[in-house]
Amino acid sequence: MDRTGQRRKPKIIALVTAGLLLSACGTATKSPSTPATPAAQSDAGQPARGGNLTVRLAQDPGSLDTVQNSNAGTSYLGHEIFESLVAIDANYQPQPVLAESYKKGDDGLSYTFTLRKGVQFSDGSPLTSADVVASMRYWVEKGSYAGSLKPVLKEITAPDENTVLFSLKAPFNLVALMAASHGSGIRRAADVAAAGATGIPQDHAIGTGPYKLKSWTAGQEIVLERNDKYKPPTGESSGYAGAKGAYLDTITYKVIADRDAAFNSLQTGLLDISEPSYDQYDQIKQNPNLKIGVEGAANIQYVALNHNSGSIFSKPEARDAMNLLVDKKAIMESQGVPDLTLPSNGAFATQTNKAMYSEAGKAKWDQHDPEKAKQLFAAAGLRPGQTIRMITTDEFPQFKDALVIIQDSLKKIGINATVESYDFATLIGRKNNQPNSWDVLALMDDANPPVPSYSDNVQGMDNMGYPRDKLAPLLTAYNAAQTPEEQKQAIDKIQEFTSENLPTLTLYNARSYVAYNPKVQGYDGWGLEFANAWLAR
Amino acid sequence: MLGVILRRLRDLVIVLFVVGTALFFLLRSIPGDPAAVLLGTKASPEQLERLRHDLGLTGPLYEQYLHWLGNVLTGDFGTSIKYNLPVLQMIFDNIAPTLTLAIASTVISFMLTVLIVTWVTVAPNNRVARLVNRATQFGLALPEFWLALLAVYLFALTFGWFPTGGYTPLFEDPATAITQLALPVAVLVVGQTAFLTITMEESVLGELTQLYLRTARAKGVGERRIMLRHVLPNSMLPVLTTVGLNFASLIGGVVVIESIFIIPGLGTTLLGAVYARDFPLIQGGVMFIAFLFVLMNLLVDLAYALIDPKVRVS
Repeated sequence: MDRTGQRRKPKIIALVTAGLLLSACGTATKSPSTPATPAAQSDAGQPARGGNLTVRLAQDPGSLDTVQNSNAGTSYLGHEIFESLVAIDANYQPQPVLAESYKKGDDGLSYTFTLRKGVQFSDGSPLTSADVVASMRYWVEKGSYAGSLKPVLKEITAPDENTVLFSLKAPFNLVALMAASHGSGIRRAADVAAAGATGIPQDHAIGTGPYKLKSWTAGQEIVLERNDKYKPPTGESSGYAGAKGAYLDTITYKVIADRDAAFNSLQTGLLDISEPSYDQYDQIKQNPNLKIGVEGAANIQYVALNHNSGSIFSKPEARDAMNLLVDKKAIMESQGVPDLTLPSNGAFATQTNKAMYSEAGKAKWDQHDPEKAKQLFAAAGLRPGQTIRMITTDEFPQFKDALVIIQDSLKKIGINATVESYDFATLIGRKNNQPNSWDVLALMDDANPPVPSYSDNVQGMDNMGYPRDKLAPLLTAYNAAQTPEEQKQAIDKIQEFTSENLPTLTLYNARSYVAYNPKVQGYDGWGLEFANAWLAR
Repeated sequence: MLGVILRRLRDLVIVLFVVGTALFFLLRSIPGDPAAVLLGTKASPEQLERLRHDLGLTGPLYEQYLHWLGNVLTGDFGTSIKYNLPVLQMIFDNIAPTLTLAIASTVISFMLTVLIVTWVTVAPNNRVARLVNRATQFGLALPEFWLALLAVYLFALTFGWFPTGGYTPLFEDPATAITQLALPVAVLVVGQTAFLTITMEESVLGELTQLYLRTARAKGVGERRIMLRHVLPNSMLPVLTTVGLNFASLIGGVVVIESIFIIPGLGTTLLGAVYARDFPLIQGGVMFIAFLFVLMNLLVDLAYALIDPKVRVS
C-alpha cells in the first residue's frame, strides 16, 4: 500500500495486469489494436485545444521517479510524462506504446521489442534502444514491482538502435509485469545516470508522453504543459494505450491535504477534479454541478495475519478461526457506499481482471461461523486472557472501522483484542522492526497485482513468514504456462494455496471514484489520466 | 544595547545547538524510517537497507550526528529526502505564505487591541466600547479550527464573498492575494486580539495603581491625558512580549489554518515532513523556527529599550 491522502493506491498499476497475462502467453506478435469496449464514453462535441485543468493531489509526491517512489501522485503524473514499451488498455490488455511490436521467444526465454520510429523525448532528443535498456535496467535494479523479475533476468541488451532484447533464465510473464508497473516508463539514458540516493531528480523528468513538466513548487503545485514533441501511437485511445489528444495547454496539480478543503474547492470551482472520500459520495451524487466517475478497478481491503512465531496466527487453526469469525459482509456494508464496494470473494484480483480473478478460495472465504472460530482459537492454543493485538494506520478511516468490528466479534466469543492506529511511517516501522508486537494488520492493496497471489505483499512483509518455498513452484508454473487455459489453472492453484495459507484475509473490494466539473470533457475516470481530457468552452 | 544583542546572539547559538541535537536523537528514536515511507510496503529488505545506506542512515548514531553537525556548522542543512532539494531552499520557498499570515494577523490584532483598550480606557462608561471589549473575550473560547470551518461555510460556500482557500503572493496579484488571505487572517485575528486585549487590560489595571498617576493628577493633568500619555504607553511592555512570542509561535503553529485554507506554508510542509520522516527537513525547519523565536526575543528587547527609558538605563 502506498500513501497519499488516499494513501498509496497503486490502483493505476492495479488495473492493468490481467489481460496482459493471456496475451503474453505463447509466441505472439502484437500490434496496436482497438479495444473491444472503450473504458467510458466521452461527452458529445469536438475536443477543443487549450485551457488549464486543475487537479487535486492529496500530498506532494516529492519525486517523479516512478521506479523508486511509490507515491500515488508520482504514478499519476508519471503516466502523463512517460510512456512504456507496453501499457494496458481499458480492457486490461497489453498494447504496444513505445514498442511497435514485441515477440516472445519460442522457449519463453526471450522477449524482443522493436521500437516505434520517430519518437522523441520532450527535449527533442530521439528515443533509442540505449534509453530503453538504461531505463529497464534501472526499473529492475531499483523498483519493487520488478522484484519478481530480477531473479530470472539474464540481461537486457540492444542489438541495434531500434531493438531491445530481454534474455531470461526461466519463463516469465514479462509483458504483463511491464504493462502493469508504473515504473516501467522510458527515460533518457542520461537521466537514468543522474539518479541519486532518492531517485532521478525532478529536473531530469523528461519523457515521451503527451505532457511535460513545466514547473514544480514543492508542497504547493506541479504544472505540466503540452509536449509538442509528442508522437502518439496509432490506435484508439484506451486506458494507458492508444493515441492521446493532449488537448490541454496545462494541467495544474494543487497539493491539498485536507479532504474537506478539497471538496470545498471543488464545489466553488477552484478545482476541476478531485478524488473525494467515501463519506462525501452521497453529497456529491446529489450535487448537480458535479459529475462522478467510478473507476473500474478497486483496492482490496484486507487484514494481514502475522505468521511470525510470536503471534497466535503462526498457527493455521488461528488463521482459519479468524476467517470464520470475521463477518466480511458486515464490514463492507459498514462503509455505507454500496455503489463502490464489492465482495472480494477471497480473490487477489477483481472480477474485472478476468485473467487473474479466481474463485478457487471463495467457498472458504464465504464461511462465517463464530462458534467454530472459538473452538479453533482454543485449538490454536489461545490462552485465557491473551489479547489479540491489531494495528493499522489512521490515514484511512476504513481500516480502523474494520478492526473495530473484528474487535467486537472477538469480544462476543470471549477474546480480548486491542486496536491501535498510527501514522503510516510508525505503522510500517512497527511491522518491520517489531514483528512480534502485533497480530493483525489492516491495510489495502492493489486489487490487480503485477504478479498473481499476495506474493508481492508477503515478500514486502517478509516478517509474516509466508512459506515461499511452497509458493515458488506455483509461480513457476504460472510463468511457464503456454496457453490461457494453463495460466488460469495455475492462477487457481495459487488462489487455492493462498486460501489455504491465509497470509492475508481479504475483506472487500473498494472502488475509487472521482468527482469533477462538468466542463471537463473526454475524461472517463480512468485513474487520473487526462491525456484526452479537454475543456468545454 | 550592544550587550543585549551579544547576549541574544549567544543565546541563539545555545538554543540552536540544544534544539538541533535533541531533535536529531529524538527523530531517530521514533518508529518509522524514511526509506520505508519512500519505497512503500512492497520494497524488499535489501532495497530498504540500500536506500538507508544511500541516505546516510546506517552506521553508529554518533557518527551520523557528528556528520550532520559538521555540515550544519558550514551552513549545510542537508537535502530533503522527500523532495531531493536543499533544506534551506525548501524553508525559504514555503516561509512566505506563513510569514504573510503571521505578519498580517499580528499587525491587525495589535492595532485592534490598542484601539479597543484605548477606547475602553478613555471612555470606561461607554457601553459600546465595553460591549466590544467583552465581545473580544469570546475569541478565546472559540477554537480556531471551528471558527475557520464556520468562516468557510458562511463566507465562502454560502455567500460566496471569498474563495474557500488558496494562496497568491501578495506582490504578484494583490487583489487576489487579499481576498484569499481575508478569511484565514480574520480567524487568526479573533483569537490573537482576544488574548492581547486581556493582556493589555491586565497591564493597564496594574498601571492604574502606580503612585506617579497621583502625582500627575495633583499637578492637574487631565484624566484623558494621563491615560493616553502615561498609562497606555507604560502598559505596552507585556503586550510587546506577548506579540513577539505569539508571532514566533504562528510560524510553526498555523498548520491547521494553512490546511483548512489551502495555504502552502511552512507548517504544512513540516507536517508532511514528519509523516515522511524527512529528517533533514524536520531538523532544518524546527531550527529555523527556534531561530525566529530567539530573533523575536531580541526584537522585543530592543523595543523595550525604545519604549521604556528605564530599560535603556539598566
